[in-house]
Amino acid sequence: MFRILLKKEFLVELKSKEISASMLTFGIAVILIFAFSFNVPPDIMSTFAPGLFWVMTLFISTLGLHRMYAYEKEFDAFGFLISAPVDRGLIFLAKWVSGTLYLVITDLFILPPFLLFLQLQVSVSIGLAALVLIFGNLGLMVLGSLVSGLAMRAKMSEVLLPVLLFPLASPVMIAATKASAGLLKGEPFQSWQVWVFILGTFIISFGLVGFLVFDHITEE
Amino acid sequence: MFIQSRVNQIWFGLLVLALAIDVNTIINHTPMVPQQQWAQKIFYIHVPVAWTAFLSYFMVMVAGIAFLATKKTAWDRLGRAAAEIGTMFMILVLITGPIWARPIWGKPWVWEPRLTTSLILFLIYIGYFMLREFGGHPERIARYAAVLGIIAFIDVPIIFLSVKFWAPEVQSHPQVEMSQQPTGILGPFFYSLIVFTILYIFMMRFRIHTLKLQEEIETHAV
Amino acid sequence: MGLLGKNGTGKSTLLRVVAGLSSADGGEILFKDIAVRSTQTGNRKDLLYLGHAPGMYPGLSARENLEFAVRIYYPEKTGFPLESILEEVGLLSQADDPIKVYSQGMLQRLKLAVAKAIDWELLLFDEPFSGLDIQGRKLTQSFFDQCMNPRRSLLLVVHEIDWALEHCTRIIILGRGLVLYDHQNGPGARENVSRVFSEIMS
Repeated sequence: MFRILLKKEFLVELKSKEISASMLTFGIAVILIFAFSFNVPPDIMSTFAPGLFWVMTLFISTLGLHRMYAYEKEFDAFGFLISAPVDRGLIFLAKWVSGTLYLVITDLFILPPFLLFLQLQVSVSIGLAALVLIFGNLGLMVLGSLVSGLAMRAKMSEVLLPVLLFPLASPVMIAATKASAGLLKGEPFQSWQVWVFILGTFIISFGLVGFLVFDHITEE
Repeated sequence: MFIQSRVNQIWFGLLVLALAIDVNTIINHTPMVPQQQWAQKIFYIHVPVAWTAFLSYFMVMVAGIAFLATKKTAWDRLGRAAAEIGTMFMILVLITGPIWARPIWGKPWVWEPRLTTSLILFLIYIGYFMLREFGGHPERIARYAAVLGIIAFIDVPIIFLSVKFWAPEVQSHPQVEMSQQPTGILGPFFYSLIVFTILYIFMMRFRIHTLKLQEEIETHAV
Repeated sequence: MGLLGKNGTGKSTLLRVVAGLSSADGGEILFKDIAVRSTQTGNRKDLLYLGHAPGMYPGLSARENLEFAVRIYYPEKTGFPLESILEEVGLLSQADDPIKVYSQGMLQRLKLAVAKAIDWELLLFDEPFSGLDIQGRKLTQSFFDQCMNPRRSLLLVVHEIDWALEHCTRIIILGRGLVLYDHQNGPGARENVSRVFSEIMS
């Protein structure tokens, strides 16, 4: 069942390309603004860069989340989905996994221009970079999928999503930024592994809670 | 009726008396801490208020879990009352925190884990009240608010830990140094803590009562 | 079973409540002795809700939407006669177009295809005839005629009193937030239904 739901998410996105297109173009636009607004020497830039990168990713994620839940509402596909014999926790998992994948792919496309425009030079271990990227995005999306579910039916959902998501996601932002900073400075993994553990804790706790409570927020 | 009840009147009178004694003790009968002087006295208010605020948000989570399990309106009422009163106490925390912080750190705001967690929780709860306002159908709001209350409190330890590791230079939280402080602090402090907890319970009962009345008016209006 | 009433009297809402989508102000809906608003999914496999909106993904084609709907109900089964069902409802030639370009009548036919593909015991259908042409109405009508057996029940929101009197076994009329009429169909029903209707429409 999970595979069917996941396949549906990808199929919808492959057909419309709404999410990836909006995430990518928005990301590029943000990088441009960053480059203009933070016109500082490269060594100062490199201390800012991890924070800027995750702020950008957070903004991009709200955009993607909005689209992911918009197509459920447009023709009331969600209505059909929840009246059908589907475990609603799986709907949450499918949204989470697909959302994370979109976010990781977007980040990968955006990283080169990000480094180029902000004139950053990095040499990091690919494996560790992937670990930080995936954990950070899993953390943002686990919360995002849950909060979007809460906000999608409310009036002013476009305001409610960031208002709820940003403070709740503050540990993810702190941990992902710190881990990226450690990675960028070339510090050994042991010195910043605590951040990866915090991200892991966050992902596991909210993944579990989301799976359990999503049932209660799908119904109108 | 809540106010007409003799028991509640006695409770209210005792609470006023206990608070008056609390203020008097804090002003006249607690030792002055060197360097901090009068500003340190806010500690007797700040910590009990913070304790009450976190207790209240914990109650929101408990009420949330109970509501999702039973779908009884009473739990939603409890959760809503706890969210409102908790947020009121949280505002007091965020006001009294900087007053105390100034003489200790020399500046009104530092990213101390407890204070930061309080601020983040306060912001989450602004979203909570927006959700209650714009959520739509009352039954749905009750479910959504329950879920948000649970998520918010689960976030507390993770926020606390990440802020603690994030700003390790901010370590001198005076509560940690309690053992090094002059004697005569502990007694008045615990007294204040108990008074504030009783005040909290009294406020909760009153708010739940008014919420119930409000619901009755709304159903009769229809 | 036919559900009638003026616009805005809560026919669609009642249908959504029965399907477990919306919450009632009070009371509980039981289907096969299990509350529809529960975490158990066992009873929902025999229930199909087709609302006023298509309940599908606008970016996907009719074939993909139909396949997804069937998969959701029967994750294990393979080899569904999707093509023949699409042909029956007359959508085969446009089966690969995204349904956001579909007209109301075509979406209605697609809903009919879902109703044909899934082996429901209770079908909740909101205005099955709206936007359909004559051929579409005939298709829907003949499908409903096929479904007339003791195992299957239909709860339909309809507006045509005459149609309801001709085909429904039980007629319910909603108005002013109340059930104004709820009787088995039969001789003499026409007179009562017409009377209730002229009251609420005046």
